[in-house]
Amino acid sequence: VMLEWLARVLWAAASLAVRAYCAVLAVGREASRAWVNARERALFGRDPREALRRSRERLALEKRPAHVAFVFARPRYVRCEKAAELACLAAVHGARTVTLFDDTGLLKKQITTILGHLSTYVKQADLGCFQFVLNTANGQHYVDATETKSHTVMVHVVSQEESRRVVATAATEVALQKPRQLETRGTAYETLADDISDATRIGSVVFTEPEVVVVFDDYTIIPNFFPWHIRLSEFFWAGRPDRFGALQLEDVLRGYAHTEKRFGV
Amino acid sequence: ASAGCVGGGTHPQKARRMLTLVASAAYLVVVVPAAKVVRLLVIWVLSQGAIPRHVAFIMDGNRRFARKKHMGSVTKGHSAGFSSLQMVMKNCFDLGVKELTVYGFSLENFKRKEEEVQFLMKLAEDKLRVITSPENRKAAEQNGVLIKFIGAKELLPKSLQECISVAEDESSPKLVEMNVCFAYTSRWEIAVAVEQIAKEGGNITSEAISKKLQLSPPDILVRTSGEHRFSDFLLWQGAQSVFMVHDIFWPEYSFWNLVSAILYYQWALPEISRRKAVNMNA
Repeated sequence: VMLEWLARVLWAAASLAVRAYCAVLAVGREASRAWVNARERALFGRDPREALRRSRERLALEKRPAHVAFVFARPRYVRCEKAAELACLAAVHGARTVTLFDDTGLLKKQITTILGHLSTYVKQADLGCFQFVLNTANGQHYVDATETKSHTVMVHVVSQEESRRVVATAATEVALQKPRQLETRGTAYETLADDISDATRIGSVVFTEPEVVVVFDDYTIIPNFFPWHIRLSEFFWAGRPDRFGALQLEDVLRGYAHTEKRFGV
Repeated sequence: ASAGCVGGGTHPQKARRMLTLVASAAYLVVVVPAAKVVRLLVIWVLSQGAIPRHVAFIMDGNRRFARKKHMGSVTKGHSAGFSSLQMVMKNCFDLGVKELTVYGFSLENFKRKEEEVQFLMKLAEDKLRVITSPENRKAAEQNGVLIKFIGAKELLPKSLQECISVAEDESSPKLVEMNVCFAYTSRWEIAVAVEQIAKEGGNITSEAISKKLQLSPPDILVRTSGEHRFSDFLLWQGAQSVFMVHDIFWPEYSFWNLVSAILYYQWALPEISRRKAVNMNA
């Protein structure tokens, strides 16, 4: 009994040490971000246009992701204003598809609010050249449909409901239309896989593979996010979203630009 | 020339030899047993918390390890990687992990250089012959290790396919499971599940796909080499698993890395359980 008690005490001490270590790392990371954000604001004020312009100029990358996904892993991290801001930031850095995901579908329920925030941010940050289209399984919503813009940015607003269903729906479609393609022997599975990829849709829009997935979570737990599409995505766990801004996204994009897609090739 | 040479060496040389002998003896008598005791102690303490049932590994970094250690050839890195796998298997089973899955060879790896691919096939074949030798087979049966190969086996050389079928003996009593993903990708696994459901005439739903997959969800997914991507491994099953990335190469993976992964898992477990409950209710 005493030995068992001793083992439990030692285990509790080890667990506490792990938690303390992770807590220290998290606090350090948040403090660093807060300091960086405060310094940026002090130097350049709160002008979003200026912040975005500097962000774009600062980041001269050869490789930029065309599709960036932001995953809000905890319900209390879901913020429409932050989601709108992140969509704009990703668009400024070259992304033409942005995905906003949360497990429980809170973002989908607040489409109108996100639309409002997007509209405000577009005006404040002078992003009039971008046409933001909010795409859900039920339809599309335009920030400003009155005039044609230079760049269209597709913003998918999704939840875990679509995450796996799109694969099942696409596979069913392929099975009905191309029953002879249902062959996986040898390298034949590649044709089936390509057909399924081409058939996965959110509403009427084909859902592509995100190159970068930013997960707002306190733990490195794999989110229930579009398992078919994340085979080569670079994941970045970013903690709290309210401390994630232009500078942090730049770090993520720099990290992405320096990775190699290998499989040893 | 012989001045100072007594009994085959000078005094400093003798002293150095004596010191080496004493150090070796001390290492064998004190350090090695102490390390074993510490290891047993750590396993005992760790088992007070929840031990993950299934741990999966993406064994990344063999070639970079070979380059780092100036081994001359990347194939030596793969051999070092196999030794590391044996040690990790032992550590996992000592810790009480019931299922171990490793990403041995991806379907995408066939695009590598021909000589490297052939070496990997040969390495797998040689190691399987060792594992399935009579003495090792008996040990595996006594310990209840069930080995399964998951992947497009028809793409592998015939000789390797024969070795795999020998190694996959379903009749042995199963206490622990070792899954080796060879010529595998997660999309291949999902496509096979879709094919099976379609041929059986069932509806292709996400639940049906989950039931047809060949691998169970892991509790921890470990990747070495510091890369934060899944490389088409356990994509469907990996949701709500802890993802541990270690910034070391696979041949450098040690018992202490595994301990840190399990401690982190134990810390995150309440949150994982909460999310799984929420998802089930949803």
